Amino acid sequence: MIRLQQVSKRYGGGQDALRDVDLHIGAGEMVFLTGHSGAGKSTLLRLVTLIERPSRGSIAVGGQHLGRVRGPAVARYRRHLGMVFQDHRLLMDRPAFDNVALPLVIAGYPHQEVARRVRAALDRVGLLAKERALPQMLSSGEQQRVGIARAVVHRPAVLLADEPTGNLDPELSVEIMHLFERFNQVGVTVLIATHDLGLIARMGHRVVRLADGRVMADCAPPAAPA
Amino acid sequence: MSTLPQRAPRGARRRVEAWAAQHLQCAVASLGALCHAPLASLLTAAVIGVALALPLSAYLVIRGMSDVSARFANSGDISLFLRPEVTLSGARRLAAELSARADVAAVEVIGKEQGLVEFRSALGMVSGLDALGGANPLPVVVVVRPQSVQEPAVEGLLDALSKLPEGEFVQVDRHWLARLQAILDIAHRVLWLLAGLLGAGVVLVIGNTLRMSIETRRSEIEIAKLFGASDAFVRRPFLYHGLFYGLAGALVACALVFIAALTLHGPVQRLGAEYAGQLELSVPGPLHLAILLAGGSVLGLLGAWLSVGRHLRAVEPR
Repeated sequence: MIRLQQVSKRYGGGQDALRDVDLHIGAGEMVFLTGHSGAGKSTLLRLVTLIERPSRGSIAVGGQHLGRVRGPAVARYRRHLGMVFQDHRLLMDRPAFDNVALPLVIAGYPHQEVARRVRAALDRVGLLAKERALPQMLSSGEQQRVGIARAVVHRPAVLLADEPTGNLDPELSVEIMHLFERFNQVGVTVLIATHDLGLIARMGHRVVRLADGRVMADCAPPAAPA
Repeated sequence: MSTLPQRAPRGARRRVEAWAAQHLQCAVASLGALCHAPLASLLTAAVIGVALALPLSAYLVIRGMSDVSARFANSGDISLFLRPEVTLSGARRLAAELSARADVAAVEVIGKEQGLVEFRSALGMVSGLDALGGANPLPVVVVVRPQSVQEPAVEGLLDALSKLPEGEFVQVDRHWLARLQAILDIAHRVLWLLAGLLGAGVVLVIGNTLRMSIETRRSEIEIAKLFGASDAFVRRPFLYHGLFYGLAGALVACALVFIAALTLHGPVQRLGAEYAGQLELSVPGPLHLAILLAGGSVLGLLGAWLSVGRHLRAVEPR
């Protein structure tokens, strides 16, 4: 589903964020991307979401070569992705419902369908009762759940998350990760950048470790206990 | 490798409905945002209104003067004063010959008696004429209206008339008209320059007003773009903002010009009465209102487009 070939990213200051990264993530996989801050996790996600473009190498998502996705096609490409951010990035002056509805409104869904899907997504993250609440009335964990509902409401093929539990206490982090697992179980390809090693060790998914912009380790999930 | 799922194609009608609903929602939201800060919106509309009112009022004044000039445009009549010995019948013969010419539109003969009557009623110079002791000093006059008011044609006709043996002298007074026309031509150009400059001013005012509103919604734009919003989607609410500013400004402009025209109407009419009702200041009509509204909308949209375009480029992938 996501394939990086010899991908390098060098920033203006001559600093290499990624060097010759080869990575393949199959459809329906759930993969954790780890490493110290500055290892290149966020850069990799920014390349996949076309916020930035690689200096060298090629990236394909769902068989689509991102190098050829330009102009208005960038917007259409992004509608196949779901994104979750560490700082939630919610619209603070809009209630939870409107925040979750954003990808559907952008894609031009009819009003009734927007309402139906938004309620379904909010229900899945357990926030149906708070659809009229503004983000500041919600706890940090609840805000992140709104962010996740927004990321999956349009049923994306790929779900990308950058440090989704960075600001949450351990208990809430586990809850959020389990939420991602549930979406993965229905077929969504999930890629999560995190440095919460203790948490991901317990979850038993594939872990790709980056250091200095290179892939240092790629550990397949342990075989399910017999 | 699996491919990205294609969205199930939705009916064209539902698409159009969703699109129309988005526009309606955008329009209502923009209007709501403007009404939310009525004073600021009103001030912006007032600035735009003043900028739009100036060219319109200048146009109305110039048009009033053009009307005057147009009314005199037909007065390119040439008066051919005949020698005193030429009789009325001689003059009629001459008139018949002249009206056969291709460059002559009409010919009228004014006899001595008729000339005296007109002279008396027009100028009230009764005492002066009466002092002449009853003798009519006026010659027979042939008034020739040229076919064309173009300078070379009139010159040719004048030349021919002045060579006639029956004629004493030829008189045509078009110089003041030419001068007025030249002044009006300059005024017209100044009007276009003024309209251009003030139009650019309106674009800048709207662009600058929206710049602030875009800044406050910058993160919203970024988030929308991350979730696949097209440029058109991001631009839409701001375009409606610009459109409403332009429309509100046009309404303010119309009100200002209307008030100005009403204030000046009385005095101008009194002045016009002194000149046999040939001066009139027109009040803006439905056509002007339509042009103002259209102009305001276009300028508003343009200002918004330029302003948002700059910010859209700022959040593009690098």
